[in-house]
Amino acid sequence: MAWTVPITFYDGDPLTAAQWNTFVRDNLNATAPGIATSPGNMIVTSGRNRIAERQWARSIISEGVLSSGEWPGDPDDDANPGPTLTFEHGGSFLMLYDVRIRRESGTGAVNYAPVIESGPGELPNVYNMAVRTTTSNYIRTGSHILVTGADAGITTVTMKYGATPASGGTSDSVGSYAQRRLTILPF
Amino acid sequence: MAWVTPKTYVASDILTAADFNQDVRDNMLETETAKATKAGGLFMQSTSSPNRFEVQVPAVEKVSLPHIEYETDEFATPIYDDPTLEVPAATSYLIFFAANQRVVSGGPAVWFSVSIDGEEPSLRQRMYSTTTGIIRQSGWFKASKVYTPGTETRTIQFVYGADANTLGHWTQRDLTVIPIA
Repeated sequence: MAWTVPITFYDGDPLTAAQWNTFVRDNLNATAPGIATSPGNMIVTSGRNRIAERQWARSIISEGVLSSGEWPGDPDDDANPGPTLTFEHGGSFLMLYDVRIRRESGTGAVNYAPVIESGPGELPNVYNMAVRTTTSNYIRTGSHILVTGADAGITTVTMKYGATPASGGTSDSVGSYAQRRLTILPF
Repeated sequence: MAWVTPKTYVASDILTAADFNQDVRDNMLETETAKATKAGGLFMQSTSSPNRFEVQVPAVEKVSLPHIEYETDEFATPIYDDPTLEVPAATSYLIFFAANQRVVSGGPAVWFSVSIDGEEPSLRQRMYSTTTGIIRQSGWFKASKVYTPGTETRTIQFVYGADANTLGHWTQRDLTVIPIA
């Protein structure tokens, strides 16, 4: 039920059943206790006098994978893509992600970042915010992206991997990634 | 209106207009639903009084290109530069920051961090690197100081630094702030 600004009563005004249902019952059903369904969820604003319940999402894949293609792409190991998360949001969400990463061979950088694969509206290209490295030793490194201004709805995000070329060169690098984590806080 | 603990009625009590206005109307206007003004906000307990919520909306500023590459002579003191966010004056902030960083020449270290209203960030809030290969680094912290909330804004901005005779390079910079009421 939608929220309605509560009525102001004056002495002598009768309280009708319809008024009680609109201004008390329906409004209470539109508050946080009225909409809460599952423990651990967040309550966020979804518009003027509207709130919504949002569920955090997290996925971890321990298996290591290699990438030899250009970024953004799936890893070479078809059996271990992702992580992938599908979630509902009101137009903005915070993505937190980290992996163990190193460049196994080549001269350019190896990269990874969560890529928005489906969902309503125009969503930003995350290419510039990809985690990238040219180091050959394993390091654990991650980053974040706050997406704003998207249309509300259900969106799927998948971690993508691959190489970008060294200056004037080709994308010949092979990347190695392990202990891959993706967390989404939808707002 | 402030929240008032609702009256407990007993048999034969009459619900007056004044009781309804205070215990139902005014209290309902203090709920999360009444406070919501636009999508994407989070509810934080207000510091101004108990039983009161403030709505805070996460903010983000991204600066992809051009990159920043500071000369060593500029590092007698840290450099304050974009990305910059003007955010509501809250009591604290949860801050996420990230950039691609590398040492161009000299060494050993370069770093970047975030400043609140021009305060120099502490050592534990700085993202150091000694590598010449580009690497994306990301950090986050809750502001350690308790600020005074108000109606004006506060400036949160990137800070860059390096050891003497060291040239650093930064690009793809991202600053995300969640004000905490």
